Amino acid sequence: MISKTTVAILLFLTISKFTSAQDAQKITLDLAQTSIKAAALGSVIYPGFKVGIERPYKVIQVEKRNGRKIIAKERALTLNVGYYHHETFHDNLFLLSEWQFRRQKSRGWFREFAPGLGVSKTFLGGTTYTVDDKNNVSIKKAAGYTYGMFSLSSGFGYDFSVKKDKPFKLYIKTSLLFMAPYNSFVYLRPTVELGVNYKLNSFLKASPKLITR
Amino acid sequence: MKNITLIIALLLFVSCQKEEISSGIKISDTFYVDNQSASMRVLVEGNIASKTILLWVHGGPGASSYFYNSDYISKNIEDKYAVAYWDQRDAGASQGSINGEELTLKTMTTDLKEVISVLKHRYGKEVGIFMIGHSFGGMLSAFFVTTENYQEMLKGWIMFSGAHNYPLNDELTKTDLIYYAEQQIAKKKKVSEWTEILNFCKTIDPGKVTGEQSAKLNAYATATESYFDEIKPYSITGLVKKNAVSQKYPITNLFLNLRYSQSSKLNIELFDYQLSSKLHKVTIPVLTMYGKYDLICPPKLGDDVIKNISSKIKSQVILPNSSHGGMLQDEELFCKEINNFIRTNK
Repeated sequence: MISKTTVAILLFLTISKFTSAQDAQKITLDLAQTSIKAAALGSVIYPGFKVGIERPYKVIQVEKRNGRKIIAKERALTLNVGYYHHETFHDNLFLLSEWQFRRQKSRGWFREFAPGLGVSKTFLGGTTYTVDDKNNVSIKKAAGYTYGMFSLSSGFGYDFSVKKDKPFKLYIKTSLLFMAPYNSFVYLRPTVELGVNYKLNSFLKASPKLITR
Repeated sequence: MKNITLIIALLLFVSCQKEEISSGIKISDTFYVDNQSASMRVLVEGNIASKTILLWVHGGPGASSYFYNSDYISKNIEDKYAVAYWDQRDAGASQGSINGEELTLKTMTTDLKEVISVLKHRYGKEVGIFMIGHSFGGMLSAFFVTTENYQEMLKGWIMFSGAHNYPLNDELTKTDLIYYAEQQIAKKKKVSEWTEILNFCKTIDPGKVTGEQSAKLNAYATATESYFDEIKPYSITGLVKKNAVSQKYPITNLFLNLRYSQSSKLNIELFDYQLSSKLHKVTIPVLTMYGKYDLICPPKLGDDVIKNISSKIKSQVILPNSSHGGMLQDEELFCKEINNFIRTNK
């Protein structure tokens, strides 16, 4: 017969062994850093681009399964310049600041969501004319409109710094751009961006607040 | 980054200033006309060497001239004359800022006058312009030709399934709905649908159509387009699917402009508006074309136009297989009659 004490000792040893094994597998994620982004932006089928800078200000690291899994909830502010060209309709140049919520997993994959606010300047897709009261026709130079812009975007990507020690991420993101006041209403434009996010390790170094849970 | 932005802005600035005017028998020019916080797209396609332009005034308010730019028209009208597809304010590819207060017949008539001025500026003062107004565009074009001496800017006016008198339109729609409902019920075709229409029409007091009833009459008239065996089916959705990419539609712009214009004050103001009493001012050549089965804008509206205008040259055409989309349903006859009218009066 195995005594209760023997069982207790065996159980303790087993748990200790298991726990130490977990400690050995404990995963860490590097703290998010300032990065620059560049993306090809497709607005429906019309080409464009988006470039910007991303600066994290808070990271919440959540350990799961005793540290074998870790998720970093990164919060960052981004500032972007975007552009697309819709032939015969308009060209749109916009400045957009996004409040970015990223969920970075320990295997390298991440998903993100970002509402944004900005300003858009359109340039009409053709020569634009005005006619005065005496019926004189003249060309309006750089014709277009300035709109307030609101955006919602979400996407996913892979961070190559997690497993492969490369300082960049690749991502794909879909966005809806809302521009107003547009013909007394709102204009809505869907976009897709495929981009790269390159981590800057020395330039504009960020010190995001780290919270662990 | 700053430098890149500056370079892009500069390139855009320079490119947007350049005035490109095509010549020849197969042009495709897009330009914009700016008036009262709206920039309206105009596409001119076809044979500008003919020095003749057919200018579309589309329906809605809030639809788009894209829906009239069919392959058939390209092959059978644009080969002879140029066709100008104008998107009205708050419609189609037109853009702007806060301009809702300007969505009125008066401002839109000024827009139209300016579009014609720009067409003449671009393609020469000698260019002859024929205007074709469809549906709501019939009202706008009627307002144009009865305003001051604006009709002098035109060589001719084509009223195509247009509405120049909304109260009369409602009465004629009601009368035709009752006529066809009784006929189709007797033929045992779409009996439940026609019975519902008949019952509704009988609740309307003669000469007293309310705004709500008017909207419902229009909805029933639209629904009947698929009830007749005699009508050639047409699909605006099909046209959009076919042309959206090749003609570079700004899809969301089309949809949001339509939604805004359809719920605007203009529709309410037009409910009891009529121009029959002003049509006597019209002296230029006029052609009216209506679909035989058009219950949205019934063919008798054309009779009212012909009866009231003072033009010496005037003619009427009924499109035998059409409802409200005659340019797609009876396209051969449609193009033939347009070409004849232009050839005779240019």
